[in-house]
Amino acid sequence: MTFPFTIKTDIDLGARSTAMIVGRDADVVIREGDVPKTIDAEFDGASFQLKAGEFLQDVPDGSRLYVRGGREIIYQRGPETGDRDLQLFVLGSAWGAVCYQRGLIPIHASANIANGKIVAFTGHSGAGKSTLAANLARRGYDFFTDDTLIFDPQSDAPETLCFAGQKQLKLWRDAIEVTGAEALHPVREHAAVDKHFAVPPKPSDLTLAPLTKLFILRRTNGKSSEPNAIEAMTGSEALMAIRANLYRPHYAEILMGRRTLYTGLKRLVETVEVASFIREIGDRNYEPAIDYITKAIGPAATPGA
Amino acid sequence: MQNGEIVWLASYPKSGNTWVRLLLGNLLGLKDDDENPGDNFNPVTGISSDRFVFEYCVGLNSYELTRSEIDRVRADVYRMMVRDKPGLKYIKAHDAFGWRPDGKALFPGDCSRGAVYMVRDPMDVAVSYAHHQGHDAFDQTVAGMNDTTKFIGGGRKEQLHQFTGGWSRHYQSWAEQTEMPVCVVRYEDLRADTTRQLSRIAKFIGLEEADFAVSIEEAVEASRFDRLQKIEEEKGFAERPANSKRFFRSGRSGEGRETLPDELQNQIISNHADVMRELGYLERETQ
Repeated sequence: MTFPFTIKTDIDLGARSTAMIVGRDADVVIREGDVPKTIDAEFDGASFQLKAGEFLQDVPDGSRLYVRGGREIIYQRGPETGDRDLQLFVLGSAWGAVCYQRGLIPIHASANIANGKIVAFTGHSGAGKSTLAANLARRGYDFFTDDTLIFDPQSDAPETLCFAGQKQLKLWRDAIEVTGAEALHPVREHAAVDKHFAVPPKPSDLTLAPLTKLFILRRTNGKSSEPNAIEAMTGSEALMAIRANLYRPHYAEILMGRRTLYTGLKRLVETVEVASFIREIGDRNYEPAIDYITKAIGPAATPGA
Repeated sequence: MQNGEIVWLASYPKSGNTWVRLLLGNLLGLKDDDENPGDNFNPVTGISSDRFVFEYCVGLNSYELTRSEIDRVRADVYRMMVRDKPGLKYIKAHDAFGWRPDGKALFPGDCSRGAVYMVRDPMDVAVSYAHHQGHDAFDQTVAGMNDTTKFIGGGRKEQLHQFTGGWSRHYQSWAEQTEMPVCVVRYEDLRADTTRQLSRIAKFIGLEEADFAVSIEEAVEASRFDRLQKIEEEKGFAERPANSKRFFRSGRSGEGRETLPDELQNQIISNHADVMRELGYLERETQ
């Protein structure tokens, strides 16, 4: 089973996306062109606008992105926008918007494979999703995806099958060294942003697998006596926790439709174990936190398999 | 006073900002609406450098933007906060008041009601800041207070970058800006007569008795320093840094002059004498 849509693009998107690139009859076309100044928005952000079927993003480097009908991503470069910048933003916000418009649910998560199934980690930017995925790869859990884990709620498969959003990690320089990942290049043209694309020691070839466990990364609040804890969630609590950790969650209802979104989330909650992984942040608990979560996940592969 | 809805609670770090937030939280009966349920107190929440809010408003990963790109949209983020959730809001800011290269203010007057600027004797700030960071290398904190190019946060840190500059320039940036009215509150005055200073702050903001959940006296009583220390000891405080033993440590005035070596005191005075004199922190030396 391949990624749910094909693309035709006039910019090189590198090897990060798992969407198949085709020469014609693509589901989604990515091209340079005129981007409207404004749309008749339902939701007006500080630098984006949303309405059903349309998404407009002003990137503060001067570039602009317009996503229409789940079929087109039109971009306009800023005066100093380089290819890397454009790739990052096209495969970021614009990609999330196109997924929602096509009825797919992108979860803001990084993930590994344990026993042939996906174990995913979600949380806000900076929560440590990518670093944890890289560390688990170092411990033998094949790396599956970074940044987005894409669920197709229209699939009639009995399991909750999810697609890898990005097959390269975005890591800080020191995390690359600690985790043994192979650095590729900086995520931006501007050297001031010290994040780099990287491939961990054990990347998985899989682009689609069943999701079994979804951990929401949280930090201890200073009053907990335990440095690490896992708290299971069910029902509406789990549903709202996933909703809060979708990729650009406030885009979801407008671009996808409330009913489709919540039907999909309900299905996720019914088939996936959802829990908070609450951990103390800091050097002292760095390795113990990885030890703790590996015990909760179980072995990377079935013995003898 | 302006009609905007943001009241900036501005200060150099460790100058009594959290105490004012707790006083206002208690006075107005404001609950922490942060998703993080860690707070056991009711400080009015919101900080200018909140990555979560920034990303919600901008729709981009803030860790992947440069400082200048972030600064370019910050004013629009604050405007959106007002548009998204009407009503008076209190936002803490450790940034110096700043201007973008195009001359527009980082903290826009059009959505602001004013700024309450907390200031504290820099000698005490130096000691408090060091303990807050979990060390007693006072020379480092003094060097930071003298560094006119200093940033806190940013990079991979949980908060967006905040340009603090040196201690004097920080005060002057807020006191001298013309985007919004400012009410300067000395920490020492707040300690000496909390009721009077809280009344002054409330009046500056334009609050009336009908806005109060409790009386000024009750809010002051609920925010007494020893009471805050006790709550922190029993229940913790979410804003305590991982390296710091406690957030509400001493709160005492005059500790810096007792603790800091003469050399560091002299460094502070030589870098900040004018502002210290203006604020009454060099009175003894000039008499």
